[in-house]
Amino acid sequence: MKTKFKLLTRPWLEGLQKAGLSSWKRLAPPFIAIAAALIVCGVLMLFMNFNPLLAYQALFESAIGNKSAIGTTIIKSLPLLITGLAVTIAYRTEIFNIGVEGQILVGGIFAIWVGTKVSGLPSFIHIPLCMIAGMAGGMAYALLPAWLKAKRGINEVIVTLLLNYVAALLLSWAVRGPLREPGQLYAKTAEIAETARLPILVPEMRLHPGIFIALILITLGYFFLWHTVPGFNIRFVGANQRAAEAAGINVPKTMMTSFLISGSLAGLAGTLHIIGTEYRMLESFLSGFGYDAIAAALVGQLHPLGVLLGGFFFGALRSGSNGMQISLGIPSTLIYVIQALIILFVLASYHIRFGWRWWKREKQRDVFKQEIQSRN
Amino acid sequence: MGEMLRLDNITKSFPGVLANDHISLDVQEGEILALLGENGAGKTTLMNCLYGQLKPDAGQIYWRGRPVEISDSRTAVALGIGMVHQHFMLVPVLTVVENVSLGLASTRGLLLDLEHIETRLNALSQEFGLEVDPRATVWHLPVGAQQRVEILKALYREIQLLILDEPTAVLTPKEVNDLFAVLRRLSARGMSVILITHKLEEVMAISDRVTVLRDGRVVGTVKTGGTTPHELARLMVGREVVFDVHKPPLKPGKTVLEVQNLKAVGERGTLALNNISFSLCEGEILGIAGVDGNGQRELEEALCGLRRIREGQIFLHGQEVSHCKPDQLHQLGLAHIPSDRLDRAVAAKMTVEENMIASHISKPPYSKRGILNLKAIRQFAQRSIREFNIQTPSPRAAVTTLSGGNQQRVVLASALGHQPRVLIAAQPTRGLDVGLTQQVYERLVQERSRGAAILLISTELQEIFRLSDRIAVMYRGELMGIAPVEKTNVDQIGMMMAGVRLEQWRDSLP
Repeated sequence: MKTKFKLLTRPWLEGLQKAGLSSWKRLAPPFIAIAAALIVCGVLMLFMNFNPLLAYQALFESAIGNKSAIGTTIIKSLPLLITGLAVTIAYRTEIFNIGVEGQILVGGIFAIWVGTKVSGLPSFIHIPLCMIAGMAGGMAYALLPAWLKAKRGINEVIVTLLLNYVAALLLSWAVRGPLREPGQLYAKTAEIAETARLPILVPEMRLHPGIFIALILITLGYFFLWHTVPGFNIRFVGANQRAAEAAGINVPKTMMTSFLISGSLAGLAGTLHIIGTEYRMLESFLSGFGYDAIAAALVGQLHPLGVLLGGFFFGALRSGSNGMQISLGIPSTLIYVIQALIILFVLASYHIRFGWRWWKREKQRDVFKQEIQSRN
Repeated sequence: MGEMLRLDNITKSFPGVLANDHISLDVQEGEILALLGENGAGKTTLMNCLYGQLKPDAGQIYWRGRPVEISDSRTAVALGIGMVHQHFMLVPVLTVVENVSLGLASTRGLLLDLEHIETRLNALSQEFGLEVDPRATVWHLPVGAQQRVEILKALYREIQLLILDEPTAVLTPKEVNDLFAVLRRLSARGMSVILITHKLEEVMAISDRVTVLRDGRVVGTVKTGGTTPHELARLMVGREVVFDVHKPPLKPGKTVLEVQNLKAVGERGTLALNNISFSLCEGEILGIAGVDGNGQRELEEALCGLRRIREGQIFLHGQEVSHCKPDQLHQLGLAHIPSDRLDRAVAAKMTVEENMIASHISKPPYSKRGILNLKAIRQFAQRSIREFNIQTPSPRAAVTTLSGGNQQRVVLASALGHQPRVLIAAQPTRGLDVGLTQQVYERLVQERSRGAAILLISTELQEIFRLSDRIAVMYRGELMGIAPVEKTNVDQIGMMMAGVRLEQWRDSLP
């Protein structure tokens, strides 16, 4: 019990240690980027004759203003957290898994199938079975791009991007065809069996245990990357593939491992959203969440603990934007503008860091010059 | 004879290093000036300042007495300064003429005028003895010819001062002589040459004057005729050079590595290794000499499980390992110092300790059942940092923050940290200064005394001669012969490097 406790707390302690004074420069850019994006968007609102202060107040309130708002934020953050972790683990091998969007959907389809077609099982078997099916679905959908990347060196971005369209069409077909709820005008799947649903812990927040699963996974993700051999291999391959090969690391296997873990996590994200919140799939199921998760992972600097920050932030934006629209009539699409600006600013913030380094170098140069002058 | 170029108090600093500290030198018309200094003395930095690729922090450049500001290499070329870099700036898939034409305005507007260039190129190569086929594709050409293309490229642009950065590193002894003949012809036509080098023999052989750099400063400029290699060495290093490695007599044990008729294909799909056979005993150093690019890299990779073998066999401790993966070879006690540090040896973004332990990470005590034992890793790293005297703020510092010499020490620590039985050491001292080189030599001899079998692949002949018990020479993917070090000499090895087989050489003796 004690070791388990240590296992769960150590990453956070280590993470906080790393987040000490020495690395505030590493932590600052996302916050600067978020602030800059909010300011620019505020100016935009002024031009559209909205009061940005009121807008942000509404955004804030409907994101974390009351229990139900917090519940919505957590529910919207959950897929982003797990999928963000998926993106992060793949990225550590220098694999950019854009395919999480599609892997979420295929995982969801698998989970729906087990949730609706299998019955008569007790909950403690049915729920894990759904989760395993969802992970298997996500993993299976990552298998082709993973194999192509690891064995043939084919660019994963193109393959997964195209597979995302295939996945969306697959879902359209599933909700209209084999998984369609009979007798319904609108194309959607049937609801999953009661036994496959996660219990609701706090009814007014619609809170289910999925959030704890996400927190545990993020903790394990950190542990995996920095405290296990496969995690070490993943980071080493990501840092220098040819050196990894020379050190005796099996590069294709490591790539497959991280890509498949990434896919199964994305599949699980879709599954938890089904068995915890929606209980069924529509054509619009979690549409765009995969891409948002990439943004969340980027804002989180592709670090498991950073994903936590990024995931909750983008979840809050999603749930807050509705409130903004309802109380002030500001189009919720403006939120996409904010999101896009944040990503741009995060990317730009790398240059801010470079700029900082440049400034330091100039200062050093001055010191040299003084040294030289004093020598003469 | 007038002054062509003068550098006045050029100063250039990088974070943490003062690479050029008030350097002043001058070049006369028709003169060959050698710029001598160890690795890291600031030679290349200085020339990059002159060629407009770096901006000096302070100081002034005078071209024919006139102060000039050289902001980029175009300006340099326009003034009449050309440079042949250590790593050639050629496009491999284009022909010689096409390479020369790059960046030039055509006399026919938007249309290429390659015929015109070709005619002039032919004239130039005849005039200066730079034999090259203008229509050949560059990557088909041997390294020596590629270098001639670089020189032709500069001559075509009507330069008056040619800078050559370590031009002989990739050449055979004969090609070096040819190059020197070309340089003499240039100087006879009133052109000047700056030759960057750290090889004393070359300085003595070709230059009119020598400027010696040490730690970013000029420590002396002397007429070549009035100096000796000994004096130059003292200037260059700052102390007496004792390059003597104390090597106990050879006590070969049983054969541990045996290679039979090895064949492997290179990047271009051609046969890079052809019928390589040799064996290596415990407690022995076998040196593989040869001009860079004659299959050494492919041999290194094939032996370490990084390149597929087409034919032939490799035996390690009597066990066939021809198609084994690197980790299986590591299990059998093989260690590898890769020839290219940033390519294969270190993952620069990872920490010092992670790099040191990468090839042993899956074994206890560093991990158990897949979980890392960070304490054991840290202990190993701290021990190695002490043993190899690695200058690093902490075992957790990223390797990229270390200097080149310290990065190489990390590589050594990772290869030698677990008492290898067979060591493939490829260019183990590339880019290291004299002091560090000496340390590496001593360490390799120690490993030999311990009983390790060492294959030393190096393009530095001095290194090969100092360390090896036997010397083999590679030429175009084949071994020209293997000779015990006491029964051979530089001339013989030099001939083999140019493609003469040991047997032929013996036959040709009177």
